[in-house]
Amino acid sequence: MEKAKIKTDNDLIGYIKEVGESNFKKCFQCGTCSAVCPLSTEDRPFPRKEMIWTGWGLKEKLASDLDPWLCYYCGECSKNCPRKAEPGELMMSLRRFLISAYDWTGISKILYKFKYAEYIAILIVALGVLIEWAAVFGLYPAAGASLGQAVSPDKIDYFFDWPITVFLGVMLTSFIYNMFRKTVLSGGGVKIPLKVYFTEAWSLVFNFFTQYRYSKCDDSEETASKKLASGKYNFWLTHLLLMISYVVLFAGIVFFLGWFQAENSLPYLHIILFDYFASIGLMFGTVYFMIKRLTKKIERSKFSHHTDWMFVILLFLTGLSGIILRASIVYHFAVSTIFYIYLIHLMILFPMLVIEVPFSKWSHLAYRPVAIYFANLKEKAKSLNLGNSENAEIRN
Amino acid sequence: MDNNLGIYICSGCDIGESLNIERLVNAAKDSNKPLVCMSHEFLCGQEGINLINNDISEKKINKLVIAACSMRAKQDVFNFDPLSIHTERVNIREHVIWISPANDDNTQLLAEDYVNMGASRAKKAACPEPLIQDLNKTVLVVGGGVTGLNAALNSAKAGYDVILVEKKSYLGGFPYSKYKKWETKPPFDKNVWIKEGLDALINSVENSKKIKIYENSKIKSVSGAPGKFNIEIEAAEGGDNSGVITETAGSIIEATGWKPYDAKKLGYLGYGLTPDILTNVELEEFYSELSENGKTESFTVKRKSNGEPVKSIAFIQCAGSRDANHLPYCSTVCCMSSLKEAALIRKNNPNANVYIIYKDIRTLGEYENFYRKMQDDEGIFMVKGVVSGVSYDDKGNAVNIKVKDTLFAEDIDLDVEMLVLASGMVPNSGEVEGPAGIKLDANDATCQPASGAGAPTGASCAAANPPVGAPQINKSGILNLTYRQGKEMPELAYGFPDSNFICFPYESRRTGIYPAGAVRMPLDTVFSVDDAKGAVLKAIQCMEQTAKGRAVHPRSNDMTYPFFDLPRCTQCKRCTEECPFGAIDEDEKGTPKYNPERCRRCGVCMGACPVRIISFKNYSPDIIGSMIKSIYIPEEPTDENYRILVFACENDAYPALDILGLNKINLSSNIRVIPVRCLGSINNVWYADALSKGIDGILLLGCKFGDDYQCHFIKGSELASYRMNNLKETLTRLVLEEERVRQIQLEFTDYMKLPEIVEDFVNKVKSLGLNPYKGF
Repeated sequence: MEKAKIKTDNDLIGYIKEVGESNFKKCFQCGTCSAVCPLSTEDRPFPRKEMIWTGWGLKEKLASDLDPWLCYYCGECSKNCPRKAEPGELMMSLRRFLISAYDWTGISKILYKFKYAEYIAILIVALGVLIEWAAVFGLYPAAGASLGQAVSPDKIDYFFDWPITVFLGVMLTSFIYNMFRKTVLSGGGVKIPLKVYFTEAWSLVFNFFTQYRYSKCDDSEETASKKLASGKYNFWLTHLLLMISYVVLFAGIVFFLGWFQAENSLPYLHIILFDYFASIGLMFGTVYFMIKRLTKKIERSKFSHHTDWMFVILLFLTGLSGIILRASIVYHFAVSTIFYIYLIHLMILFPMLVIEVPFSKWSHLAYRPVAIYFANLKEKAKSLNLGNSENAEIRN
Repeated sequence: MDNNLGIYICSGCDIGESLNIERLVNAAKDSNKPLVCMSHEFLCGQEGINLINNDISEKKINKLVIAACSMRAKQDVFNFDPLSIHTERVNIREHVIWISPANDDNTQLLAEDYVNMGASRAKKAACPEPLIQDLNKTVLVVGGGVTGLNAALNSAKAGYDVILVEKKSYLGGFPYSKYKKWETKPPFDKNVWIKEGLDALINSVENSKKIKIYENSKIKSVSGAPGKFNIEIEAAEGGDNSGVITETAGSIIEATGWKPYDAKKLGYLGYGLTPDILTNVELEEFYSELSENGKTESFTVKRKSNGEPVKSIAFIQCAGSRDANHLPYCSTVCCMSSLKEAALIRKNNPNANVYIIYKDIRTLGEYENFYRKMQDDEGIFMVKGVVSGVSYDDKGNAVNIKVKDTLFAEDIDLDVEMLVLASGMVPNSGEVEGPAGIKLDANDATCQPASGAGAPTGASCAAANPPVGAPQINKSGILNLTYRQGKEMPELAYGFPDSNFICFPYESRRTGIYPAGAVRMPLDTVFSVDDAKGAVLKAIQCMEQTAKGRAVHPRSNDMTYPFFDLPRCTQCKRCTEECPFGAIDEDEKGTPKYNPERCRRCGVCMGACPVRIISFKNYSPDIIGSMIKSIYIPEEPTDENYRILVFACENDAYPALDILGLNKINLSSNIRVIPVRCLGSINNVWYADALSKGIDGILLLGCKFGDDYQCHFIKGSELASYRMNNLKETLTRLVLEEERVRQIQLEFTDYMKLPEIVEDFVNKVKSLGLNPYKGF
């Protein structure tokens, strides 16, 4: 088969240099990174392969590559790289590139490239929320109205939560389809039998809820309990806690907003679980990651892109404003006060959702398990295909 | 010379505790009838030395036998005037008591034998009469390039007159007409115009009163020897001094540099398909042209095919290098020059992409920093791989390169507008003359013996070293020596006239002639400057030593030299053919014409001579023969009474035995070691002497030979092995097993192998039984 001609994309190289701090050009392809990587396999020799692809600006190869999602940035590669080329950071940069590659609107690319674009985008969304709020609830609460009257949960659902859920769903789905097109369909070669899509679906669910692959970032031969005791699982577990808390809170506000506006303090166990514990998880997780990013002691927190900061800060502020809002309701603050706290909370929450979820760092929540699922699909299909052709040979 | 023999036996260093010294002294007295024979417990101490000095002045002792430690130890203490006293060191420490059981009868016999052997040698040896002469001390530098200019300037700075001969009409050499140097220091951004750097050097050479320059000139012939080379310089017509001029020089530095590998042979990499495919040298020339010879710094590199600015360019490294079918070696400079070209392209055509396809990037030492800097350039793309094909697409006017085995884990297919082939260096070490005197292409010469122009290159490269005794490849055109062994410097490999550089940098195989710079091995200008200095030191050393009648490396300061008893010569020409340094010419009849100044005193000629007319004052067939004859051969057929003679090369094998002694590792007491200057100096008569005397086996311990030989005299150990094959026929005729003679190749560091080597041979000889000639 005639190989496609190699085309180096200098713009891509420039872009990847801008969205991270990897010195990938310094790589001389020794392969130490892939050798020390606990997750890299013979078939998927990342990050070595990504280093040279990026060095040469091979855009198509990179866009169809799932491996950046399979890397969890343990940092072993960066630590051991003889040229200090930061392969771990390259994988991070490539995830940023992939987010913008799946995004057909082109918004991600701008947000990643320009710091101020992100600030402006957030301000615009916040402003939009303010305008919508003014249109729905007015700028002042009606005198003497209860909270339920001033800020009706139904209206919040109807004008805010559900539209955003639909918007995010549509965007993410279309991006994931784009990802599917680029990574699974474009590969040529093996066709994936329909059955495999279902048989492999468990991996999608399993990895979404456990982030199990994260735990494999440490391949030392210790028992799980020992790793737990020595703190080797801290990052994974905190990350998992943060993600679960987030998902719980998101489901809560979309489907059970009433619970959050209930005026009694400790009504039901499920409210405590969903609301309070998840809020604590959110706060703990975001503070933990902010500290890591500030101290820069571990490889994966050494470099912080502006989008990393924005995501964790927005998440923290969302949680914080949510807790204050909840407190103001439980402690019966004046409705007019709650009215404004509510508005502020939404002006933080919505930029976080609209900007971060489809166009920025949040999206890895979706792409990571999907990437594992896609990778499994391809592998499964390949092994099936291999088995078939072997059988065919035997028959002949 | 009188034989006033004094034998001094040291009993220090445990010698006294391990041997019966009284018995040793008495045995030495009985066998050798010395004037003085005594023992002392601390011979190398002041008292011991005073004792010897007293005997020298009072009893006129002129043959000293010092039975103590190895001749390699205490050289500063046992240091008596070599011109009036022969000092024979007998090694009863390292070679006797340290490797044999103490107070054992066999150990005692071993020591007695060594003392007798030393005394026999001392009796026959005479003091050297050095050939002190008033010699010319001018350095002739051939080639006015970077190396030659530096050699000339450094020789002049050291106070020596210099003659500089350059074939072109200007100094500066190969790089002079090229574009820019690569910068050697970080941050690597000041590529200076090559001419700028060289002009200052040329200026100081031209202004030096000690340097006489011949431009447009070639060497017509070189005859004579170090200190008295006769140089015929042929100047081109029309110059100031046209015609043939004769000059005299003391030593010669060959700095003739290199030429690029013939690009016509790079057809497999697309050379010739389109003018857009150039070699690295052609690119440099193109640059010079575009810059109007340095008048302008800012220009755009344009395609030769259509004059459009270049937007993509590829470099193929090792084009025809490190390739068995072309140049099998690395030329060391191409990686740096390609990186430099890449940097210049990026500077001149900022939008151009540069692709570098390499087998390995080799940037030595600090040059690595330049590589790193270039690697970081966004427009430079490097990949390791093997180029599997280059084609030209005339529709798109593009050069297509296919690369396999890349680090992409898949093949690459790349289109570029321009392609540069980074081809290697070929030494300017002379043109090969074919059988009918036809000049062959120099590029073939690097790999091909003079077997014929049509033979394929490459396969014959490995066999480039001619067999022993065969004349060297017949090259000419550079030095045009009138030596019997060929007109040019013998080459080590691939046409480079180096010696064995592992041990001896700057050393050469023609005394007083030192190749330096890129002709010696692929070097860049920076390394060539150092190489020039090294060669200058060698050249000066040679002139000074030769004037004092002393040898140069490796037998530095040796004042002996071979004497040829010519009336008895049979004109067999073996000595003239086999001398590793071309020291012996011959007349029409084949009578050797020995040049002592060219000689390294290895004794290979002495070993070669079938009629034994070649001898040194202290080393001759007769002297060693009498040593052999002084070995006591017991007749009782017991295991202890086998006698094995070991000829040990003084350069590696003898020290290895010493180190074994230092480690106190036992060795068979059956052996008797005779140090030899080189295994090549072993004359076949010694085998006859030994075997007829009743010696049961002979072991030769010498250096490694072959392609990566370690023989200090180049061919000595190989010649010994070659001559031994002839010997074996003689042995068979005498109904002696040929296994009684064995040669082992040994490195200095192999000393731990010695017990096994010796044991193995002793057992072999024992299995053959005693020498039947014993007792005759």
